[in-house]
Amino acid sequence: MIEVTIDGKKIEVEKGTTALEAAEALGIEIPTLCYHPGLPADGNCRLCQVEVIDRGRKSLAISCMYPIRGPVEIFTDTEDVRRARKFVIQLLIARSPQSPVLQKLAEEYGVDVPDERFVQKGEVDLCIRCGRCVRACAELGNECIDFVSRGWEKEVNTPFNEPSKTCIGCGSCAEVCPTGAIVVTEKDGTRTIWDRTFRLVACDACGTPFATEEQLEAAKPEFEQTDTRVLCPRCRKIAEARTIVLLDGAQGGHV
Amino acid sequence: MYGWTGTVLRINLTEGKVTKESLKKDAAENYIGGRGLGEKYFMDEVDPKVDALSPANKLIFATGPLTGTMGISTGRYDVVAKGPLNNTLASSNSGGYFGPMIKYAGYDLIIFEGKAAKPVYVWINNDHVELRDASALWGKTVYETDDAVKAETDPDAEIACIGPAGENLVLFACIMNDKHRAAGRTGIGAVMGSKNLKAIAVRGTGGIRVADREGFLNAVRAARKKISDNPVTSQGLPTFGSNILVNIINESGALPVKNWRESYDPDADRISGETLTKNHLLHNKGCASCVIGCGRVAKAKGRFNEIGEGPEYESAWCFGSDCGIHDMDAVLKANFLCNELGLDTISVGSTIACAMELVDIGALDPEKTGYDLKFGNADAMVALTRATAYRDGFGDEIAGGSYRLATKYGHPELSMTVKKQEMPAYDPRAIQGIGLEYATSNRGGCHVRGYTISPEILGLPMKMDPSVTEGKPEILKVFQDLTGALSASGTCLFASFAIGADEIAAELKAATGIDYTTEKVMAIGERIYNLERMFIVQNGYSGKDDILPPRLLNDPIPAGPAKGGVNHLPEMLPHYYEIRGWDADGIPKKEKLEELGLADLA
Amino acid sequence: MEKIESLLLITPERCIGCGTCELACSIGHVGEFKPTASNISVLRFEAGVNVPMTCLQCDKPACVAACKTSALHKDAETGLVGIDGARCIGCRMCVMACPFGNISYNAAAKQTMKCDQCGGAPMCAEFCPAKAIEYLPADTANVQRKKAFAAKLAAGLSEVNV
Repeated sequence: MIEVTIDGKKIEVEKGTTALEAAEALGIEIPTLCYHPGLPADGNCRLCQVEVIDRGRKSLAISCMYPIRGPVEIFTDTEDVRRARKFVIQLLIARSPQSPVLQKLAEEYGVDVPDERFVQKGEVDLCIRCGRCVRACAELGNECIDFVSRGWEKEVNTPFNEPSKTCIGCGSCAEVCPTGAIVVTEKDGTRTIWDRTFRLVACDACGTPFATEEQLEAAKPEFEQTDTRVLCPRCRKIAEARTIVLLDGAQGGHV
Repeated sequence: MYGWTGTVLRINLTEGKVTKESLKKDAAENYIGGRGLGEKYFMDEVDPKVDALSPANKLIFATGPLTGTMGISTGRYDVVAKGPLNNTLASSNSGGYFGPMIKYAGYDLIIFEGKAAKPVYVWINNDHVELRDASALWGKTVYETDDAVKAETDPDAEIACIGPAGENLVLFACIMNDKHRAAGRTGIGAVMGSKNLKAIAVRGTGGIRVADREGFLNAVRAARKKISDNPVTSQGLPTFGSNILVNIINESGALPVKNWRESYDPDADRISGETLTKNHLLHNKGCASCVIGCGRVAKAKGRFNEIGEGPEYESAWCFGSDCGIHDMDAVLKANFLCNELGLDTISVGSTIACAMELVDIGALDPEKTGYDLKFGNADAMVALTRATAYRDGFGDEIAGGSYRLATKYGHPELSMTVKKQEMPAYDPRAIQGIGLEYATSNRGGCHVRGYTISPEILGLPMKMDPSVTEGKPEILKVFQDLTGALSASGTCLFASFAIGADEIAAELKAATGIDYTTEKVMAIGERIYNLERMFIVQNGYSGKDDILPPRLLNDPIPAGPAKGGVNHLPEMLPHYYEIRGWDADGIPKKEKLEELGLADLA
Repeated sequence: MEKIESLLLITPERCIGCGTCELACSIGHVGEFKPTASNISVLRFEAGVNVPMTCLQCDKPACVAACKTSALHKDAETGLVGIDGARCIGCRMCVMACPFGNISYNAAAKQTMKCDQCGGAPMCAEFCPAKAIEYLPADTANVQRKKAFAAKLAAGLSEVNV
C-alpha cells in the first residue's frame, strides 16, 4: 500500500490505483468526459488533469491514466489545473457550442462560448470525440465503430461510413455518450442506429416489439429452455411466476 | 405537493375537451380528499337541484392523499355525483388497484362533465388523455369490457367501467373497477351510463412523494401493530371475510329474514363465512396496500360452476336470508352477476325480497312477473338479478328499487328503505344504534357512514349494549365523523376496527407535511357530514325523512335472541340532532355551519 | 455460498396481491411510492393466485455472466448479486439474459435495477402483511425452502443453476 496526499487529505491505495480513483475514494470530485468506470481509460479528453508533485517535481497529469507508484502529493483544483481544464473546454466548445454538458463546464470554468464567427457552420455536432462509444462497443466485442480521419475531420463512424454488419443494435454507444450525440430512434417496430435499421422482434406473448434479433442471438442462454417462445422480460417474468404456482390457465375465473 | 399530486383532470364529454388544473390547496387541506374533497368540488360546481341523470350532473373520481401510498389499507377512492336512486349526494367508495393508479398517473381528482354524443371510453396514459369510441363496447359485461379495454390500451392499465346495468340506467347500478370491486350505492353507475361513458382506463408510471418519509413509515409501523393485535383485522376478516358476520349477527337476533319479517335464521350457517371458507374459498385477496385481506376469491359450484369474487356479508344476507334462501352456490352466482353486470347487491337483493313479500301477501301476481317469486326460490332470484341489469321483463320493475316497486303495488311500508335506499343487513330492532345510523345517513339506508355494529356487536373500540339507546347518538356522531375523514384520506373503513383518528392524523401529517391532528381530522369529518346534509336539505330532505320503515318501529321481532325488540328511534333522534348542532327538523344551525366553515351553505 | 446469514423467502400461496412490497421497495430505493420503480413485482393471476417475483440471487447468475464491464457481480460474502452502477454501459445484456425477468434497465435514469435486499433489512419483507415475503435466518430448513422454490422455477428451464 502507498500513502498519497490529495488536496491535503491522506489515503492509502494499492499500487497502480489511478489518481482519479484515489480522489474518488476520498470523495473528491474531478470533472471527466471520456472516463467511464466500466471501460478502459483512454485519457483523450484531458479534462481530468490534476497537479502531481512527485519527489519535488511538479507536473500536470491525466488523472484517469495516472497510476500511483509512489508517495506523491496531488492537487485537483490549483490555478494551473483550472487553466489547463479551461483550455480543454475552450477547444471542445469551439466544435460543439450547443452541447449542454460543455456549456455547463464552460460556465463553471469561466470559458466564453466562442464568437459566432468561429463556430462551425452547418450541422449541430454534439460529439466531443471522447471515444466512450468506441470503447463500449469494443468491450462488448462488436467493434462496429471507431475514429476515422484526422485533425478537424476526425469523427466516430462505422467502417466506410456504411451500416455496420456486426452491430447488434444494443444502443450502448448512445447510453455511454456524455453529450447525447448518438441518436437511437424506435418507430413502428424498428430501431435505427448508425444508419442501420433493425426490425424489432415482437414478444410471443404480448406482441410488443422489444429487442433486435441480433441482441437476442447474442444473449442466447447456454442452457436449453423448455419454453421456446420468444418473450419480453415482462412476459418472461409472468411465465416464470406461472411456473412457480403451476398454473396452466385452466382454472378459470376473471383476473 | 406531498401526498396529493396537485393536479385535477377535467374531462368535458359534451365538447370532448380535456383540461388539467391545479388542485385547490385550501379545499384539499380542509376536506383532505376522496369523499370530502370530491363532494366539496361537487358542491362548488353543481346546482344541488340538478337532474341526476342529466348532462349537468358531474361525476367525480376522487382519491385521497394516502391513496396509493403504503398507508394502512389505502387503496381506496370515492366516486361523487348526485345519485339517481334518491337524489342524495352519492359518494361511493371502492378499493382494488384503480384508485392508486389515478394517483400514479398524476391526478387527485378526475371530473367528468356533460354527456358524450355516443358511447366513449377515456384512456388516461399518464399525461396523455384521450376519448375513444366505445360503440363496440356498449352492451358488454364488466368482465368483457375490462378485458377489451386492456387489450386496446395497456395490459398494465387499471379499468373502471359500467356494465349493462349502468347503460340501462338501473337506479342502483354500480361503477366497477378491477372487475370485482364496486363503487356500489345510490346508482352512481347510472350517472356514468347517462353520460355515455362506458369505461375509464388508467395507466400511471409516476410516484407519490411524502413530506416525511421516516415519519410516515413509523406511523405505518405503529398503526400496523394495532391491526395485527386486533382479532377482527388480523384473524376474522382475513380468514372468513366480512361474511364472518352472518353467524355473529344471527346469534344477536339481528339477521333480517324474508324482507325483515323475522330477525333470526336457524339455517343461517349455510350461507355463513365459515361455510364459504370451508367449501368455496380459493384464496383471500387484498386491495392495494391492504393489511387485512378480506377479499374472497370463491367458487360457485354445482349448476353454476364459476369462479369470481365475493360475497361480502351484506350480499350473502340479501341474496340469502332476506330472500329466504340458503343455497350458497346461488348466493355466490347472484353476487358474481352483480359484479359482471354492475349492480349494487344490497339494493337488488332487497328489492327481490320485497317483490317476494308482495307476492306472498297477494299484492303482486306472480304470473305477471314471469318468475316464481316464492321466498326461498334461489333460481328465480338469480334469474331476476340478471334480468334487472338488462331491464328485461319484470327486471325493469326491480331496476327502480323497492320503494318504487312497493309503492306501485300499494304497500310502500314493505319497502325496507330509508330515503328510498335499501337498508343493509342489521336489524335495528335488535341493535338500536344502527337504526339511528340508517335513519340519519345522508345517503339513505346505509351502514358504512357510521358503523355502530363495531361497538354494539363486536365490542370495538369498546363494548356497548345493542339493546339500549343510551350513548348511541354520541357514538354514532363520532363514527360518522371519523368515517368521513377516513374515506377522505383514502383509507379502508375496515381499518377502523383497529385504528382511529390518531393514526389517520399521524399518517396524513407525515404524508402531506400539514399539521393534521386528531382534532383537526375529526373536525374535517364533521365538516364533510354537514356539507352532505346541506346538499340533501337543498333537495327537500329534512327530519321527516330521518325515519325507519314502520315495521322496525312498530312490529316486535317475532322470534330469536332479540325477540320482542323494536327500534326506539324517537328516543335517540332529538338528542342526536342536539349534539350535531342541528335544529329539531334535522337541519344544521347557522352557528354550526359557521363553526365548520360552511357559512355559505346556511 | 458461504457466510450468508439470512435469506429472502417467498411463499406465493400466502400472497394476497396487495402490492405493499412494491411500495416498500420503491420508498426504500427511490424515496417515492412508485410501483414502476420497484425491484419486486406482484403478478396477479386467475383464481386469486398471486406471485411476488424478485431476484433470486442465483448461485451462477446469468446476468453476471452476460455483463462485460463487471458492473454486476456475485458477492461471495453476502451471496447477493450486486450492481456497480457506475460501471454499467447500458447494453441490457443482463436484462436479456435473466431467465426470470428479474432485472430491468431504467433508460431515463440510465440505471440497471434489481433487488439488493436493502442492504440486509429488506423492506418488502418487513411490510408484507401476509408473510408471503420473509427474511429469515439461513438455517437448514430455510435453505431447503428456498431451494424448493427455485426448483419449481427451474422446472420451466433446464440446467439452470438457480
